[in-house]
Amino acid sequence: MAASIGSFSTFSKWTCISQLLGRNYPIGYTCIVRHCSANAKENKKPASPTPDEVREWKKINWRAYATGRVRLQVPEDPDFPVMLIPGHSVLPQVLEKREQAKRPPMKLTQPRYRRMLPEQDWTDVWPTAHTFKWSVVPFPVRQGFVKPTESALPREKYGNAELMKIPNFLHLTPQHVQKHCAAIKKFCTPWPKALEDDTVCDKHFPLRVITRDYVADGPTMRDPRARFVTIQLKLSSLKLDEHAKDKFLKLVGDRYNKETDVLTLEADRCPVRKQNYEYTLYLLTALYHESWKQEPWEADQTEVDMIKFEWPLTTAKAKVLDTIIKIKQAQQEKGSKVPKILEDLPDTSSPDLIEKTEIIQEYKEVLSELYEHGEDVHQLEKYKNTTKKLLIGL
Amino acid sequence: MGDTDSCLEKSPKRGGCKFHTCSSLSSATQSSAEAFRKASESQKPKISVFRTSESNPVKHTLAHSGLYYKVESEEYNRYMKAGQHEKLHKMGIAFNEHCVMVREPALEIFECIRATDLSLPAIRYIIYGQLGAGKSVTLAHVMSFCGRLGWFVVHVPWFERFMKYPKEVQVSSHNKDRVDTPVECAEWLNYFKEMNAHLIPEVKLQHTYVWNRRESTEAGASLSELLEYGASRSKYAADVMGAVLKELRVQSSKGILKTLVALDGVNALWLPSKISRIDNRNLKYKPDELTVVHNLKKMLTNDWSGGAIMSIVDTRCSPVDQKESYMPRYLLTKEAIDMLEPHIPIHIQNYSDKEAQSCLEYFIDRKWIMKQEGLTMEGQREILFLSSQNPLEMYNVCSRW
Repeated sequence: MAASIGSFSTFSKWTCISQLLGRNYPIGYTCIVRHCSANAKENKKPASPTPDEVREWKKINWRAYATGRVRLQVPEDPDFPVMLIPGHSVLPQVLEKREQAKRPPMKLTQPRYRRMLPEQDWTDVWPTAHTFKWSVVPFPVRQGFVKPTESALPREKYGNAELMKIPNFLHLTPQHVQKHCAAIKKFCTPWPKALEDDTVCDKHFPLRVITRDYVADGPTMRDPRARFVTIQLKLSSLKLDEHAKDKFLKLVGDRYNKETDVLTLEADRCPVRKQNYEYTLYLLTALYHESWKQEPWEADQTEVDMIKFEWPLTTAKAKVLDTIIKIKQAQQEKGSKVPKILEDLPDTSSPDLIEKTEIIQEYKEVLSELYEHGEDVHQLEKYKNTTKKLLIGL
Repeated sequence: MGDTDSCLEKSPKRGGCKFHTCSSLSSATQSSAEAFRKASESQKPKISVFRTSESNPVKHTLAHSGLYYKVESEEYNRYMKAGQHEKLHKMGIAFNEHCVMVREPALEIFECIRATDLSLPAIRYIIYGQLGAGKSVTLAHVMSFCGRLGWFVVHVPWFERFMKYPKEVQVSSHNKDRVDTPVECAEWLNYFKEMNAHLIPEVKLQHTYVWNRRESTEAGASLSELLEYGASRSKYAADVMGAVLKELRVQSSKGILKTLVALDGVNALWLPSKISRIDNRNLKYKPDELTVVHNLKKMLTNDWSGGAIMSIVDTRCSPVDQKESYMPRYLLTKEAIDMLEPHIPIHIQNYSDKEAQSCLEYFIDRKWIMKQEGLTMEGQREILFLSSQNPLEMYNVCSRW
């Protein structure tokens, strides 16, 4: 391969090369040296380098050439012998020596997953929790982000950091669990036969106590988290009347789950588990007895204090009755045409009688549904139909 | 509606089958061409009807539902200029006409108003719906309906002017515990005067209002005198506003006139104002301490008769942490709902299929949809999907087609 640059063709080849070497070319920036003697002899303007030449030129690493790691291959031409520039180029013998010093390529063994037998025991291969190891996992698995613009698969398991980040459960296969169970079986007693049904369990043991033990390799065997005690109880297992239940729920607040009917009390205020356990039991007892008490100030509760929809206490009731009385008054005084439903209303003087009419009962039901289910378009549509009937008679 | 054909316009026919124009078909392909022809004839574009010539809201019936009617410019300036979304005005300018669609909720309200005996206590309607579903436009439609029937219209387009950014705040001369926003009240009086200009001259006052030791408005004076006084003496504008509202209530109850109360964004009446207290800049005024709010809340009670009360609940005037739902009970909170009980809630939904189709036809007619893709079935389906048939979103989406 020979090379030069078109613009240097008027100089001799030596100047050309030496000038190139003298320059500070970036790493990987390379050059082709071309014979230009023919052009120079014929006094012709040199042609610009062809794309092939440029490609070759770029291949030569000039920094490497300058340090002697690479040698320019110039065809042996008796007219143009190769000049070696001191400090820049290296003698052929040195290069040969370096080549000799190279180690033979290492023989790579196959990764472990390629050498596995199907009959092997997986629990021996992966005994405990461990970060994902590509060389041991015998199945193809991929993980990683693929740009939406790329049509590629996620990266495969080899050296895949994404797979190392996520937790894996390769140490908890059914075989592992089986082995664990077999190992701890000697510490277990048989489950009582009478308690095989969950409902029977709930009936005889309504209280559920949850505690946690912590085992760790450290200077102390105490763990502060071990003192936490949680007790759970189905509210239906307590004997409460309507008032008591209402008060109980107000006292416990968000500790009661309405959907599952489960009350959860948690304690961590005392230093020892036993104390916390006793405290939760004390809490439960106190709550129970307190909710059965009826204090004199409880009679002053208003609509806002109620958990349930209490029709007699609502402002809506007063407002509706007021409206009906106004309508009836207008009928008597001005002779206005009232909605059909209110035409036959006997006496406006007694709100109790008005309250018993069909339309007010319907209004009450719609309103209670609105309170209990929350408002949605469907419920409001019902409400609209009722009020339309009441106010306009449509 | 008897003359259905006369009041409907037919839009020019579009589409058609390109196979009709092929004349040089070989005998082999003729049978398939025949099949295409038959298929295309069965799928001929329907005669699109999106417009009605009935521009009087009083005559709108269920037969007009989903159709656009042209609002005369005088009526538009009177009832729709304020309180509408900015884009509605822009649309009117771009289309060179103001059109409003006749929709079912409005027709429902018309029916209710027609069926009500006005000597009974005024009925409260609460209009609710998604953002851009057309609540304010429906209200405007009801307003022009009542306007045609000769009703007074008390329209408060937006409470922000009163409750958030008033130009001036002063202690009320009538009640020391309340504050006035005089500039805004004077503005509103002018707005009210313009809106009801054709009705005001006939009304005489029934009460005497004493403003100070020298100035007073006697009973028997005309309403326009009172309004002029309020506009010129802005110190008393808020009290004049209260007096005007009181006159309307009293005279409506007596059957002398009829009043439509139309409040947009009514849930703001129960929200704390943004006005700092004069005595303590760190605290804000409660809503009831504003004279305007106090007076307008009186209009929301059903102590008076001879009218109707329309109010819109809007998420836009609710505080940041109360924007999850557009339902009235959520936005109004308990105190307000208790006051408005019993009311008739009116739900403004997004366009139904028929209405959406009508809207597309209108946009195509007005060249709001210009691209070829927007004229195809596929494109129109995409528009409907992108906007989920919400009127405001349909306008926004179509502006790019």
